[in-house]
Amino acid sequence: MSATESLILELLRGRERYGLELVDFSKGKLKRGSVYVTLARMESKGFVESHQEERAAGAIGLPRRLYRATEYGLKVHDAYQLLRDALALRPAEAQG
Amino acid sequence: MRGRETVTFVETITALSDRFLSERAFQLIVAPALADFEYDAGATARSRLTREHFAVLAAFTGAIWDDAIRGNVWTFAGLVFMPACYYCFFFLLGLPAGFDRLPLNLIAALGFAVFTLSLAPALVCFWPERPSRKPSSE
Repeated sequence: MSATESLILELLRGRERYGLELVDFSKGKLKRGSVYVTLARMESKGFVESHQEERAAGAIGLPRRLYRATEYGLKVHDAYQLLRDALALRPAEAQG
Repeated sequence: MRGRETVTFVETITALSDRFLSERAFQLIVAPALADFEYDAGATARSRLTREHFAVLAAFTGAIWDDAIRGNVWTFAGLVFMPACYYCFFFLLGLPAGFDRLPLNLIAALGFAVFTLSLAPALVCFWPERPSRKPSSE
């Protein structure tokens, strides 16, 4: 799992968001041009799922897509975080 | 409210997607990018070429790449490589003074010409035809 995927799963924890929202809440870590490609790959891996927003009849424009993290995606994310934390510990910290 | 330039841009990207992208790549990558672009364009009422336009173009390029690596990319590369060899041979035969005496910018121009001449027919002829997608922007 890449750092970008980890960040997206963290942002999607417990709520649905639009792609544009993810970019805004990432404080510059996610780019508008690449976030949709990353989300599509994450959907292929089963980390996130998405659906089109429900719109009123006669609404103009393309429907926006909402993303949410899957149970599997969050489990992989948590495991990834545990691993990162374990690797980041120095030997003295690990013993303490 | 959507400006005329916004609609034209969205229609252009949708038309290009019709030709070059799979349904999956369009629905998962380009359509959300376009929808957020329209939402943003409506919110800010900007119509000139901005980084939002470039973001959609980047998403479109990413979708092309995503499609390519999922599809038969080596066949496509082979079809580009064969005419590239032909044109390289053609240019090398036609050079009177030898390749090493050419200025660097001419070599770069020849390289670009070979790349374009090889890529364009493969792109137009080989790239799989996509089923027509009814525009959903209206």
